[in-house]
Amino acid sequence: MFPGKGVRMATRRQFLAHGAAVAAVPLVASLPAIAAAAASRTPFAVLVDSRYPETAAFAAEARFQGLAVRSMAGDITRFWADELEPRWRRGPAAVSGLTTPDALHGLELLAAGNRARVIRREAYPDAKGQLVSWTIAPIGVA
Amino acid sequence: MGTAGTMLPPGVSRGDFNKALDEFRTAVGADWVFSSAEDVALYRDAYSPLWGEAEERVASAAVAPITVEQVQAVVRTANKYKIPLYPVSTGMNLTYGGSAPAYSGSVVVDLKRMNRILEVSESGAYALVEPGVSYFDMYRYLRDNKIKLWVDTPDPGWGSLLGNAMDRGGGYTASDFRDHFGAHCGMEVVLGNGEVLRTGNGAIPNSKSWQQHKYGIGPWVDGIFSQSNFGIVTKMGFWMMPEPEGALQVSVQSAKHDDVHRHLDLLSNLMYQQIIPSQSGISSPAMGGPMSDELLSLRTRAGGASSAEWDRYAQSKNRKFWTSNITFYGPPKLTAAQWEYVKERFSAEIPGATFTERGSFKFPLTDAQADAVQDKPSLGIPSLNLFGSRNGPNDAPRGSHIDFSPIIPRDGASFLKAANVFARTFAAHGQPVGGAAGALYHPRGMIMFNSVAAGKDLETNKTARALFTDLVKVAAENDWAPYRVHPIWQKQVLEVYRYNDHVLHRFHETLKDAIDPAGILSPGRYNIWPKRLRGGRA
Ligand SMILES: Cc1cc2nc3c(=O)[nH]c(=O)nc-3n(C[C@H](O)[C@H](O)[C@H](O)COP(=O)(O)OP(=O)(O)OC[C@H]3O[C@@H](n4cnc5c(N)ncnc54)[C@H](O)[C@@H]3O)c2cc1C
Repeated sequence: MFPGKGVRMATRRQFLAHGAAVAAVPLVASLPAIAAAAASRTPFAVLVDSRYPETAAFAAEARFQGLAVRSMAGDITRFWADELEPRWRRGPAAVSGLTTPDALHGLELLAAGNRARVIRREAYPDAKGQLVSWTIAPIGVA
Repeated sequence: MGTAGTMLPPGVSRGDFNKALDEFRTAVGADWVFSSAEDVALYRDAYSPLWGEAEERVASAAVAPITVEQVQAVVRTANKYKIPLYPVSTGMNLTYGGSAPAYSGSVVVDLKRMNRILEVSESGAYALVEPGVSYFDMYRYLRDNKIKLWVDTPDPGWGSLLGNAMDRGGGYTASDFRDHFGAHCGMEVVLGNGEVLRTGNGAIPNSKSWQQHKYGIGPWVDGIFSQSNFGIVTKMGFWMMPEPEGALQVSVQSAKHDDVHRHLDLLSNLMYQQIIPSQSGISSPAMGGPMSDELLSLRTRAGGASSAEWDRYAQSKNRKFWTSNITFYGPPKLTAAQWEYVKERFSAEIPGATFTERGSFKFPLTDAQADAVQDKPSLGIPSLNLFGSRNGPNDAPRGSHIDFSPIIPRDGASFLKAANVFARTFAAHGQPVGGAAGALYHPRGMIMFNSVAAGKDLETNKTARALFTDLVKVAAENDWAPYRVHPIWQKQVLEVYRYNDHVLHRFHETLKDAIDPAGILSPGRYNIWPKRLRGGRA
C-alpha cells in the first residue's frame, strides 16, 4: 500500500493537480433533479492500476485525504460491475483514477451511457506517458 | 417549456419540436427528456469517423421511457409531429455507430431504464428481458440466485442482450447461443403506430410457451425487426446455455501454408457435427506479428505469395502457420473424449498438427476463479478486460476504430484470397496491415474482422473513410459483404445486395411503408427509408 523502492510520495500539490480532491462545486439550479442529487466533483472512489509503482504514492495520498481507493491490475471489469455501475444506478457520482489510457478509454465510453463524462485528463508526470490521471463527473459538474 | 439543445429534426419547426418535447415530458417525466447540448452530446458516436464534421450523425434530443406504455406514448407523439426516433437499448454499439442515430436530428429513445429481468426459467433454460438488461446484470442475477444457466456475452460485456441481438451481434459459447438474434425466442414490439405486437407464441394471451416455441403459427416475422427500423422492441426472450459440469479450453495448430484448406474444412466439419461446440476461428501466427518489410511484401503481393515462400518464412521465424482455439463443454470424461477425437482427426489428416491445452474448469466457479479466467467470453463471463489487462503495460492504447466485418465463404481458398485482398487495400491507403483471421461464430459463415483506426481529427478520419469505402468496394467485387456495418456505410453495403434490380431493398421499403407509415422509426437504418424521406424514389 505504501510506495515501494525508488517511488516517492506524491506531494499534496501534485495530487491536487493530478488527482481528484477538489472542493465540491455548487449545484447548478436548472439541472434536472436526477443530476442534482449532491453531485460533486469529489470522487466516491479513486481507481489505481497497481501494476505501476507510481500509483502507490497517488493511492496513499488519496487515502490520506479520506478517499476510498480501489486498485486493479489493468482490468476495469470488477470495478465497473461491482462498484461503479451500481453506484451510478443509485445516482450521479464523480470518480477519479490513475490508470492506463486504455482503462480510461473503456470507462469514458461507459460513462456516456450514465450521464457522465471526463472533466479532467492529464498525463501523470512520473509515468513516462503510460499513465493518465483523470476525473469523470456527472453532467452538471464542471 | 423546453427548447432543444443543438439541432432540430429535419423538416420540424422549433415550435412543433418544443411541443413534442413537452409531450414527451408529460409521458415519461421531465427528468427523462434530455435536450441540453451537454446531455445530447453524450449520445454522439465516440468512434464516429465523421467526428466534428457537418455530416456527423447526431441526435436532437433523447427520451428515456421506463414502461411499454411510455414507449407507446412517445411513438404517438412522434407520429403527430413527424419526429424521427432512434431506439437504443444500452447504446454501446461502438464500431457500428454507438448510440448515435442513423439519421441526424432523430430523438434517441434510450431504453436503458427498462432493465427488468422478467423471467428466468432454469428448467426451460430461457430468459425474458427488457432492453436495458445488460450482460453484467444477467450474469449477476444468475450467480446471485444460483441459477445454473449461462449468458452468452460479446467480448466486451458492456451491452445488452436485446440491443446486441437487434444488430445481430455474437458471442463465444455453444452454437445455439452465440448467434444472439438466432438464440432469441419471442419478442414484444411497439410498432410505428404505437400498437403493441407479440411474436410467436406470445400472440396467445397468457401462453406459457412464448419462450419455448419461436414460430407461433403462420409467417415467422421476428427476423424483420433485426437490422431494420420496423418497431421498438420492448421485451425479448432468449435461450440460455445450461451451465455445463466442466469445460476444456484447447488449441490446434498446423504447420504449413497449404494446411489452411484441410484445417478449415476439418474444423468446420467437427463444428457441424457439434463435436466442437464453441465459437472457433482460424488465425495465422505466421502472417501476423510485427510487420517487417519482408512480411509486408509477402502479405501484399498481387495474388498472394507462393506456398513455398510462406513456408520458408514461417520456418525462419519458427512460427506455426494456423491456429484455432476451441472450448469443449460438459462432464470431464465427455470433454476428454471430444478432445481425443479432435486430436485423432487432425493428426490423421494434417501431418505435423500440434495440440495445446489452455485450461480446464469445473463449474460453478467462485468469483476469484472467474476473475482468473483468461478467455472469459467462451465461459459466458462478461468482461471489460479488453480495455487494459489484455494489453501489456507498454502497448499503445487502443482507441476509436470501426470494424469492417465481411462474411467470407468458409473455405481455405476464399480465406487466403480475402486476407491478401484486404492486406493490399490497407497498404494502398498507407494503413497498418493487421493479422489474418477468420471468426466462426455464425453456424456456417466466416467473418474476417478488419479494424480501421478512426479518431477525433479530420485527417485520420478522412483516411479511415476512404479506406473503409474501398474495403466495401473491394469486397463487393468479390461478392462479399459485411454481416453488420456502421450507418455511414449502410447505403453502400445494401447496394451490394443487388440481385434482380435490388428487389430485396425494395421489399424492405415496402414493408417500411406498411408498418411505419409516418416513417418515424430509425429512418435510414440499414438504408431503409420511409416514403417521405426517399426523395421521390418509389
Ligand atoms: C473493442 C470492441 C469489441 C467488440 N466485440 C464485440 C463482440 O465480440 N460481439 C459483438 O456482437 N459486438 C462486439 N462489439 C460491438 C458492440 O460493442 C456490441 O455489439 C454491443 O453489445 C452493442 O451495444 P448494445 O448491446 O448496447 O446495443 P445497442 O447499441 O443498444 O443496440 C444496437 C442497435 O440495435 C438497434 N436497437 C437496439 N435496441 C433496440 C430496440 N429495443 N428496438 C429497436 N431497435 C433497437 C438500434 O439501431 C441500435 O443502434 C465490440 C465493440 C468494440 C469496441
